[in-house]
Amino acid sequence: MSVVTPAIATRGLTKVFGSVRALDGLDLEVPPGEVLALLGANGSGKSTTFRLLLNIYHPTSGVSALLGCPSRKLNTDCLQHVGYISEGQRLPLWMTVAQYIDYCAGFYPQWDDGMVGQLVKAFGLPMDGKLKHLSRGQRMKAAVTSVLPAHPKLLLLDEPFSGLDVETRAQLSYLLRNLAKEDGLATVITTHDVEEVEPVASRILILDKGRKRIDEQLAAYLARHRYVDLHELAYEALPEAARGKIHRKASLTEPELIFTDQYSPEFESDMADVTFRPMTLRQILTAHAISLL
Amino acid sequence: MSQVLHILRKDLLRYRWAWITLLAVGGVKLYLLGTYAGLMDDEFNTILRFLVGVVDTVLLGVIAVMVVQEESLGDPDAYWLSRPFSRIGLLVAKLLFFCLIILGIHALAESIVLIMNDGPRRVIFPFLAIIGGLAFWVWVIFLAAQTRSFPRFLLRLFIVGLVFVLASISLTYLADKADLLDDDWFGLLPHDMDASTVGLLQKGWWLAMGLTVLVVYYQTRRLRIAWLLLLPTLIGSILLTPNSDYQIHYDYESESALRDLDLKLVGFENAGYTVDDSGEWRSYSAIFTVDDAVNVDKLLIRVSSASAYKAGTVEDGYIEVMGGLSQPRKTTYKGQKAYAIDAFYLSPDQYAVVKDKAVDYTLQMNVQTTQDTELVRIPIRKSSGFVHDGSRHVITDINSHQDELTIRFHTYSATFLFEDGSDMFDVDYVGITRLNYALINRNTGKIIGANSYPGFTGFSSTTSIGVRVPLAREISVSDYDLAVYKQSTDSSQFERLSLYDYVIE
Repeated sequence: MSVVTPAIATRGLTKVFGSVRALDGLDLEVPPGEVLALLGANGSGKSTTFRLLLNIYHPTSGVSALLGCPSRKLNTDCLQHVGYISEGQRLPLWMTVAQYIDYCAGFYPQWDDGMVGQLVKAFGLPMDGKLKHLSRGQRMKAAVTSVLPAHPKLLLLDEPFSGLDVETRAQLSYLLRNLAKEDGLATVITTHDVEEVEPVASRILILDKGRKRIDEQLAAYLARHRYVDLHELAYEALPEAARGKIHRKASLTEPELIFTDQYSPEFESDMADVTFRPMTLRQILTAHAISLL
Repeated sequence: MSQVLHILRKDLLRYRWAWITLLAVGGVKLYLLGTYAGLMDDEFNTILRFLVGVVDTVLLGVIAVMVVQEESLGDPDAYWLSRPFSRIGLLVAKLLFFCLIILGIHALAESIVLIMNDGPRRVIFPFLAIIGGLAFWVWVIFLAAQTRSFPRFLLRLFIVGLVFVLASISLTYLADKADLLDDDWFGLLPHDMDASTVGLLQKGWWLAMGLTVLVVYYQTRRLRIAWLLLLPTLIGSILLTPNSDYQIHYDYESESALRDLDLKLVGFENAGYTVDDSGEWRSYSAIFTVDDAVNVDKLLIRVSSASAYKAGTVEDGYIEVMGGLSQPRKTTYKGQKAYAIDAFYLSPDQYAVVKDKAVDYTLQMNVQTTQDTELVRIPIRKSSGFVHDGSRHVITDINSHQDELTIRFHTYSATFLFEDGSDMFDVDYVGITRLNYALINRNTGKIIGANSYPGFTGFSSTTSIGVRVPLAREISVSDYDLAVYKQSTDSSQFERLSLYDYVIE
């Protein structure tokens, strides 16, 4: 029986900047093929996690490994199988798209020129345009095109949907889902666009001030959340045991949002008169007052 | 290796404007330093020289920093940090860019100039000088690698420089207080090791440690550890010095006369005045006689230090010496044939102390005996010139007066690190060769001696020198050729001459 090496493994990963604990004891394991949505407000530690994983930052304590390689000893062999795209990444803006892709290709022995052609066509990238003349969205497309043809085993995406038009977002989501499913690509995505990540992600991890607040399979997380409209339910009329499992939340769109994070078919059968409706990830985060800004 | 070439190719593409500019500048240097037309002192050449100077000093530094910052280690958002770049490969690519482009084009141009100037035996030295240059540039790379932009680099350079100056002042002060600077220095090298070998070891050490710092920093991106390595670098640099502060050992045996030459100090004569805020400074020449058998034209003398001691008091002070290595001038002393050499200045305060008083004067002198070898004879006319062993000289101006003919040369002299003689910091050397001149009548063979006063040179540079010919009567310049002699040193000795109870005028 073979042991599968996790794409990411961290234990007690901590980074302190002065008096700020940017990341506080993160334990994490991401198996191949998993798409993890790493969510949290600005400053919650998402980008710091990426930089620690990639050995760009050095941890204050704890350890991490990518594809079995300790982050502190990441070498070219390991990095050939890791793709990293960040919204704030400083690209060589003097290069044309073609030059940038060709330059990156030189560092990967298993470069797939066929995939480059497909991505360029799908994204409509201007190959002769200089990176400095491209919009934010086009730069993101160029960055994606400079990473995916290397057939990475792990993909770290920091705000990949930022600046992309609706069609390209859908294309990218579809691509990531397929790569995870067919190639076993492990992917970690940080984003504020939960609508884009919801159909792609298989797992959700929410960081709050450097600490892990939620870490759960997305399907299970969505499944245990349901809401009811106030006009369908008199809260006070509920059995007392059920009330403890139902939360009330002021809402801008509804007089009051009533939801549960402990939904199960048995729970619904206990309250036969009430109809529980599925919630989107955005609704759930809003209900829990989890800000991504 | 393929990664190194891949990165190097990218940098060559990115900075093609820079190396094309450097190649163009190299081409201009060939014209300026390797042709008589380029060496002439006209307006066009002056502008070209200025532009080349600007490129050499400014552009090189800017390119050097920009090339390294292209893959800055201090920028956590740099795209390449997450790519499978070999960090050592990256460092090697940057060093190659330095050696091939920044220093290589410069060295190539200097080498071609040497060939054009009849100095092919020296072509290796500009390339060897790259090693010495790298001892400096590796530290520039280190500073550039940790910054993201040129202004940030300049700011860090300023801060580092300031810290160094303050630390040096503090350490020197503390060492002085602890009497470490007085007699025996704690350097590990023999006290009589020549300066060029010390320089070679020092440069080798700084290069080796600079490369170590770079490897550590590129591999780990741990800036503090890299900076900490500066401490052993500094300590090593201090230890790699001669174990005595004095590299020149004087022979104190002779007092008033130099053995062999029978050179005697007989007096001083006032050679002029200089006025500044503190008052009137007087300059003095030392007057000496010498054995008749000695050919004074073959002597070169420099006063390296001087002191004035007033007998019966405790006033004993060094006085400022003047000039460099030069030939003695003919003069008379009490009706006898004598020679004069530039000696020292007296400040207004010093003069007030020694005036009309019997004072003991002591001069430390470097006396060299030389021999001349004729190199070439050239017609005396503008743009006429000669080349010798890598240097090029062209006549730019001829001024003929009743009693003096002045021939002004513009000269390019090549001096390189690690080359024998390059450690001679004496301002009187034109490159590594000292030249003498004489006028020779083409018809009669009559020789008229000339006094030369060479200009100042350090590294390879252009400079003006003047050849002054005292004339008994006006001559027709077209009848004469200018003979150029290479003056080489036969012997060199340091001696001390004293003159007791002398009353200065």
